[in-house]
Amino acid sequence: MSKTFTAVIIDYNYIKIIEATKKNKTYIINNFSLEKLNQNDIDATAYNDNSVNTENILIAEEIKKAFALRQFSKKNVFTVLNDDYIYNYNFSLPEMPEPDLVKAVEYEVKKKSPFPLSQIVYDYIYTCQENEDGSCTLLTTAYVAKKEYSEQLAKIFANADIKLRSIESKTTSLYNANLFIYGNNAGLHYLLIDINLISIKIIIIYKNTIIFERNIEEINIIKNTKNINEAGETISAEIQKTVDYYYAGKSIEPIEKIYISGVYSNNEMFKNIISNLTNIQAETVSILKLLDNGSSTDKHNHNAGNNRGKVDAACDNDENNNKKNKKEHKIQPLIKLSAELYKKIYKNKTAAKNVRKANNSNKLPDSSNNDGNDSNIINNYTDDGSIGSNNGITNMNLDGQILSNYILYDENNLFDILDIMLPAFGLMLGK
Amino acid sequence: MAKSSVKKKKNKTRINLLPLSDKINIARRNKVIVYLIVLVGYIFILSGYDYIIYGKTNNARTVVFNLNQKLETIRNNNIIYTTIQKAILNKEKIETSLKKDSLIINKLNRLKKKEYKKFIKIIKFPMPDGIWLTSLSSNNGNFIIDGNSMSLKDVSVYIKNIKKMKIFKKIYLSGIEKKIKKGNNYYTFDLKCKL
Repeated sequence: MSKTFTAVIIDYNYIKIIEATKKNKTYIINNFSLEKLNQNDIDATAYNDNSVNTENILIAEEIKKAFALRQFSKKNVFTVLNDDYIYNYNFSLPEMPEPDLVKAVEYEVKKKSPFPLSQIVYDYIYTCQENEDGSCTLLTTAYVAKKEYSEQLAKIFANADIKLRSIESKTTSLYNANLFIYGNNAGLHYLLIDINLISIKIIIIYKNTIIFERNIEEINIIKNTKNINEAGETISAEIQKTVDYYYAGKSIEPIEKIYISGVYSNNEMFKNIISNLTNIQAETVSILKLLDNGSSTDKHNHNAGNNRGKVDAACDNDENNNKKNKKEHKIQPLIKLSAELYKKIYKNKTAAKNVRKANNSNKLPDSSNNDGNDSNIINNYTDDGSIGSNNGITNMNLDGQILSNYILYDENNLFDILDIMLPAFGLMLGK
Repeated sequence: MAKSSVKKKKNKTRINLLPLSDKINIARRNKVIVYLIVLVGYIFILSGYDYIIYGKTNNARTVVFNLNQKLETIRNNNIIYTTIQKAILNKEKIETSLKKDSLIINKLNRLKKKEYKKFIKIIKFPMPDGIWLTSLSSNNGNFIIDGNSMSLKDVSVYIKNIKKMKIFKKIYLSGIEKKIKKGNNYYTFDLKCKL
């Protein structure tokens, strides 16, 4: 049995869409796209009397166009409500049957929400935490949004001829994506940071429960930072601010790990900068990396480079590798690219290879171990002009290592786009 | 009971903030889909069952039909056999009767020959002048001699002569009648002779 899901995230003036088919326990990514809304058109609507409606119609048209262009499935479409419109409330409840739980959550929401129940939509997640006496405490988080926002979003999609299956929140999608990848091995107390094109989402999870979240808007990391070091510094500062606020008046275990997703999530250098600046171990969560884990990148590249016609055979090899890897690692997320997408994404084989080599290099390209290949690769890659911007400067980091200043992120690069699709992909996950 | 029902669910990690009306619509649609699936499944199972039953019935029908055909063949064979048996019996009967008939015919022929010889003898045997025979016939081995005579005496002589032939055991004069024709008298007589 296979089921196709499409996740859409309207993130300020970007529309992210990803379609995947779930076959058994494997998610096969069929297609994805990143559409940029025309800011001028949106700005022009601000002067209209009915500016919200006009903007919504514009967004609906863009969604409709994107769906038609890439032929995304309209069967099971998920989306998220903007984080600004969602309020979340944490509370714990004793274990109880589902009907009682529904009533208890309703009571809590009624108590905590500033709006009457008739004006809101709400839902909840919970994790069962076992107590010493064997009983279970339900660590519950209720998500509340004003009904009009939910209706407005549903209307946008209805205008695009799409019947929504579910409206979720980016927080739960990132939480589910992390659970999907790491299961219960993510740690006791950790921080998720999703770096988007013009916003950042920080979530702190304690004992598998979302305990804190923060949304940082209008922080255009691509435009406002000159290079990867500056980006790392800016983000580290935001993390530090969040953590300080979070710990104010609290005495709980320190945060063990930072999981970085989104922009630069496939970049080892960026991970090291964050780790060094925050003094917390950092881990990158990238769909590309998951594809690498699930299937050998070299094999992909080798096959893509040498024999494009044998894509299916390569995929079969990947399945074998998956089986082998499964034995080696107990938790092995299963994400694959469809044969069609695989062909498309590896079309520009030189760029693909170079991106891989540049990004998978765990060592920072310092002067001592740089034998010229890495810099050549980066230079070739950037000289190509199709991917990334390049100012050709190198900087020293806090440990005195020489860092590359190339900002590798490019909105037109399929690998980079795929990297920021994790929150959208996370919408398809969870129970 | 309550404990187990919660534990089975483990964690819930998804939310759905769709407006209630949409959620109800989706639930209703899902319900309809489930009903349809159940209905289709039910129809499928029923038709499958029906198909199996039909197949079985059909097979049984075919078997019964074949058996009936065989039975019919056996019955026909039996009828043919009986008919042949009867025909054989009839044939035998006919043969026996034919044999009997042929024996009778043979006997009759023999008798006929004998009688013929007797007739010849009777005819050839010399008759008195006043006697003339009108008919000579035989019935159950008895000879009937019809004739005319000029006088009674001639009749008596004729009877004596026949007796002399020693063909017949007994000779009766069953009738004698006097007749006059054109002024002439004569006698008609009948003789019955037993062998």
